[in-house]
Amino acid sequence: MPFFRFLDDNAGVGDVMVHDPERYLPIGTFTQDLLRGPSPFSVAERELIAAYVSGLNQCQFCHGAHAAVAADLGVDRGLFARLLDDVDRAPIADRLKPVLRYMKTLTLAPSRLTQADADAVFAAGWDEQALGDAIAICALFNFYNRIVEGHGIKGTPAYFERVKGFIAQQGYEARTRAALEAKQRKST
Amino acid sequence: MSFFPSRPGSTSLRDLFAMYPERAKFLLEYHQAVMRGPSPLSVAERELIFAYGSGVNACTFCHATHKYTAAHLGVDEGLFAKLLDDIDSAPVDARLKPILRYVKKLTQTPSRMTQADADAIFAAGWDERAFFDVVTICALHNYMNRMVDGCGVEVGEAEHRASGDRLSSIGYSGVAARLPAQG
Repeated sequence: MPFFRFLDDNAGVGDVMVHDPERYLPIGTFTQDLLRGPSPFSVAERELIAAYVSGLNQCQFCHGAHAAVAADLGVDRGLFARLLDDVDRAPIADRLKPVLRYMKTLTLAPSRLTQADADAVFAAGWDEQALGDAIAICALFNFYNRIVEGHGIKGTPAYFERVKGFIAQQGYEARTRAALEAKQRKST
Repeated sequence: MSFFPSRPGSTSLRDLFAMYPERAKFLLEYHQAVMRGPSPLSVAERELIFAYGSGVNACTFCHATHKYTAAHLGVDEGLFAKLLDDIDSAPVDARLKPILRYVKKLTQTPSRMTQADADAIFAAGWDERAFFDVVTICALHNYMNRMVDGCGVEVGEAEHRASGDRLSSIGYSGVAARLPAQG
């Protein structure tokens, strides 16, 4: 049960965003750009990073939603439990492993990252833009995980199945933009 | 230090914003709304929360920058070390203590939040809008702490103080206006 009266048991993070669309539209635009705009990472890889980071934070809602989105993009659902258990032994492309190790340290002990961690990402063939994108995705999901958990939002498997279709159709910005436009029409 | 070979030497947040001008624009717009827009929390209280939460994450850059910003707005600089040591015994307004406890827990173990944690904030007299803003500030500093430490942003004490001067006077929209024009 969420901690806020404006949220009900079926609430998702989108309901937080449309509660204050002026504030949240820049974040919606940013999210859409980062997860769907040009990037050295495929859309599936970006959703995988989002789901993995959320799993590290034990954020059931974000992990469930983004694992469902990633699965639709071809990522094996069983992969997440294995990644969360041990990145080294998980059945995933070797070049993603240093990226995911970076995500783990950045999520759990952000002040402990070193040049060697970054160099491992570069040595796997990723460029600076890739590392910059991965850092931004990790930071953004550490943000969303806390928005979600801070409001007491948990989600259910049925919700994750619904929301993945919504994300595929509308992306991460449209609902907040529509809410802001509706609010502005009302006030004029 | 910077983890990006194309930016050897010391990297500032401004360098990072210059690498990603479009993202910086949206982020600073969001910061301005959260940290300077209408809120039941004063600007000084919001900067105090941001600085404290960044300290919980041991993010030197964000902690120092927002500590000096808060200090310009009347918060005792020495308060932060005491808060990070022990909220209960720190000399801070009792109404802020449940908020700071919430921020600490949401930063360290986000999935463990309970209704009782939220109720402690309401019991101190805060309304739902204040609580909404607390959650947002905490999420936002957790974002920034990871951008900064993930990219290896590191500057000296003088630059932390200069950032505190800027944020307390011109705010986040002022910083955005000073970024180089996008090409």
